[in-house]
Amino acid sequence: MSERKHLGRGLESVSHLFLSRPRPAQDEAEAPTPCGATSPVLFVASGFEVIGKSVVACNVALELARGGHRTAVVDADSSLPTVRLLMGAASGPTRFAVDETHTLALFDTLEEAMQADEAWDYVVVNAPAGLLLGDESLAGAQRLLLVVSPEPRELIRGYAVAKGAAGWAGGLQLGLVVWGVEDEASARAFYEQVLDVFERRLAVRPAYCGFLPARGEIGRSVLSRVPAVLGSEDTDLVERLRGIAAAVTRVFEPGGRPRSQ
Amino acid sequence: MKLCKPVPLTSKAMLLPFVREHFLVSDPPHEVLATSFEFRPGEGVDLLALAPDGRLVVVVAYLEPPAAVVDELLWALHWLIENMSLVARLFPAAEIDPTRPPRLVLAVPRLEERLRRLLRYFTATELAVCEYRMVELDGEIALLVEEAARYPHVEEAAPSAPTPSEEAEAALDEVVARHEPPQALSLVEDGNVEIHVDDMNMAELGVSEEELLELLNIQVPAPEPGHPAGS
Repeated sequence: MSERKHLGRGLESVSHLFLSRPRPAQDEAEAPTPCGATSPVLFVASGFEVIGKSVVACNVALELARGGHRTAVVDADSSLPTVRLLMGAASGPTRFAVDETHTLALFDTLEEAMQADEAWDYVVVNAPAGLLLGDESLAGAQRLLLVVSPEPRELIRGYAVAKGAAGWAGGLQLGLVVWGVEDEASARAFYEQVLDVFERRLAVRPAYCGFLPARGEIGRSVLSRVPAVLGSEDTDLVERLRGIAAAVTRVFEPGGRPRSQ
Repeated sequence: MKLCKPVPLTSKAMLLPFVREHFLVSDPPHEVLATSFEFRPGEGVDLLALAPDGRLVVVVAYLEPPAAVVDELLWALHWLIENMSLVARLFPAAEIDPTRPPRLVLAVPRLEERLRRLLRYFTATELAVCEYRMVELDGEIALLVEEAARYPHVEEAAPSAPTPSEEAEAALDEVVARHEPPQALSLVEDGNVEIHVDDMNMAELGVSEEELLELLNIQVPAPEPGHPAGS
């Protein structure tokens, strides 16, 4: 089913604007700073059911764990639990050995992760695709890594997810991971195109913009059922994912730790 | 006395019809699903067939005795095993049993010792190596096929944890298979902007038309003076 919208001359102003907070003062929207939030929860979300989201969530969590951070990953996308599929893990609390010394904890719900007897640096939540406005799942999404592409449907729905999170969480910390573009320059151009809209409409400045290479490579990494950072020969993809994980530690401060000065 | 002489093979196109015929008349006969089945450009298998017991049979043929094909072979097999549900959907009329790993057949002109040694370690699925010779027998071309080696499937030790559900696996395959979503359209014509967005209810999404236009970087022409919308 499709819906056609005719805009332009004679357009009646239809507004469904739902801004939870006033636009911030200019200095609030300046350069990115670590959020310093004590919550370790980082939502990885997308507007559409795209495989990039799970690939980011899974690999970033693994890389964080390997970096010595106490990390849990929650495969909250119950309709398509891709993180568990990628890692060959069954449902229920699971420990996944990342290497000889580090492990990653897997959970099915955020509650399980937060009730675990462990102080997490990061709880990476692979969110169900297309969380929308008013979705209570977003209530804890103070920190959101949005996987988005310039494809209009993905972009609009991704924006709707960010809008929903901004509606629930004051001081939302937002990072973007752009995929479905040819190169980093295209990702940067896309980021600059949408940055103003996020700032003006949602009063949120994406504090980070990462880039994932072309879709085919991501698809192959999924088909191989081995998380890319643990064994892919696609060095470009691996480096990009590691870069995103490094940015996560830079932009989203580990939970439960005092803000660094 | 019948005269039998070898026929030089110059291309796979010459070989594959005979391979196909071989499987059609083999005992038990197989149903041939596809020849030259590519799962991505330049990568694929030469023949897909269906055994009477529902098992997929995958044939990879070589014109020259292969020395080291294991990597290429494993990749093709890996793809097929991981995408059995997808393959089953591609051939809906065939009763493929997606729970059984495919049987692999290597068709080679000669099984050399080096390859024989390598294939001993191939345990992912059942593998048969067939040697073939194309001959001219009393003026007719024929393909002589003989099984040269068979390597049984060795079951892995039981995993420490149950594997994820097949439904989820199939769902993942589906997402991977269609990860090029249809494009929304934006057209500018006669000063009007028309946006056609499939399967999306903007009100439900909570995204206004102004936001949509800004996100897509579409400029809406200002109403002309005197136009009702501009007054």
